[in-house]
Amino acid sequence: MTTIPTDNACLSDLILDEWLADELDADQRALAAQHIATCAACRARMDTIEAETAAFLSQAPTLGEHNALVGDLNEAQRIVKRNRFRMVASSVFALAAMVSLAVITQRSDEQTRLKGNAHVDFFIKRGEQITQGASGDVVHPGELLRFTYSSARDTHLALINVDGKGATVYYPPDSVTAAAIARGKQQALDFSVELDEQVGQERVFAVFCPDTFEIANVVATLRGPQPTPPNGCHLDVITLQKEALP
Amino acid sequence: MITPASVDELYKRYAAMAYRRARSVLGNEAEAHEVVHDVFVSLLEKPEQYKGMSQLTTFMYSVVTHACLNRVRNQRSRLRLVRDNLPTLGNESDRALTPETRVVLQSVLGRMPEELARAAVYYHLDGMTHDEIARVMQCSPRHVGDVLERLKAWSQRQENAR
Repeated sequence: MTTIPTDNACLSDLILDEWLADELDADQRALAAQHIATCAACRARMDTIEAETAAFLSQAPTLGEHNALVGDLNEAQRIVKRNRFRMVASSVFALAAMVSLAVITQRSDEQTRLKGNAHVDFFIKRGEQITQGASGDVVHPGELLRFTYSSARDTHLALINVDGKGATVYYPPDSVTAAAIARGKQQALDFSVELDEQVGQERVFAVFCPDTFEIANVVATLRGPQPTPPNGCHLDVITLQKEALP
Repeated sequence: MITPASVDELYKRYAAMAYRRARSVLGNEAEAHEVVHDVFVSLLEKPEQYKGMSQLTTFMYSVVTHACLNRVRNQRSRLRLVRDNLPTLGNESDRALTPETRVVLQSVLGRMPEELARAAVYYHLDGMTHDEIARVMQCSPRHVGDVLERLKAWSQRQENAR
């Protein structure tokens, strides 16, 4: 039988999970409710558990979809292991290995971005060195960028770079409308960008929309002082400071 | 009782909790997803493993912890094989799998007898009370006290042996 502590100690995850699963009997539920009502730490923990549950189920709502997700993760890990061996065996890094590195060098802030809003990440290739980039990074002409996206659901994406010279559509190439993308985590976009000689600030906008859209209609607002996504869409922004090579 | 047809519903209610627990023990999201996968596939294949003696939450805590500890032990075996056969890659592989602290934790759990390892997870990682551990392990609180004493003694012996 469940015993709710009566000494004001915080409730364990086990009790909170039983509470959420409605498995406590009436008396225990009343005691738990009394504690939760007066304990900010337990309320915060409960909120975290509920948010994580919602995020998990949005990523894999059914057992079948979770099986597919595990299959994808296994494939990603297989690629990571293969590429890690290459890295040890040889100093020749292919840009294609960037995607694998994402799993090895997961950023500390990943939890905050993982399953909520769709977003893009990127990698920088400097000579033979490949590193995971972060918004605010300093980059240099001649370096290569490669992007991945993460989205909990099927959606549409356009990746647009805005710098001092104007706007450039990175993705999808040769298209006037956003591309359909399948849900997934750290999915590589099949292109890389070599940075040109134009120094200064660059902003890369990832526009995620449930429906496809005309990219030209969005570009105008992205070039303004307060970029805003179209209705129902989500905007992720990467800012880069491009400096001349020392 | 669980039936193969009800496993999908159980997934919706308990999979996120199972994932959170597995991630907490293993410190690795991909492996935590694999544990969730293993647990629910196992329930599909052998639904009778849930005998209805406890609430489903405590049952899930128990099977997920068991699956994690198995994985820790298998991982140690794999790493040992890697080190034996590819000595120059051994340390590199260690770092790639988990952060250092997690490796230390898993190393200790991987060497512990099963019952002590389970108690260690519940007591030290989850911060459960004796009563709560007793419910998950389906034993008496007094037995939990004995197990925790044995855990303390085991840890002391390991420390003395270093």
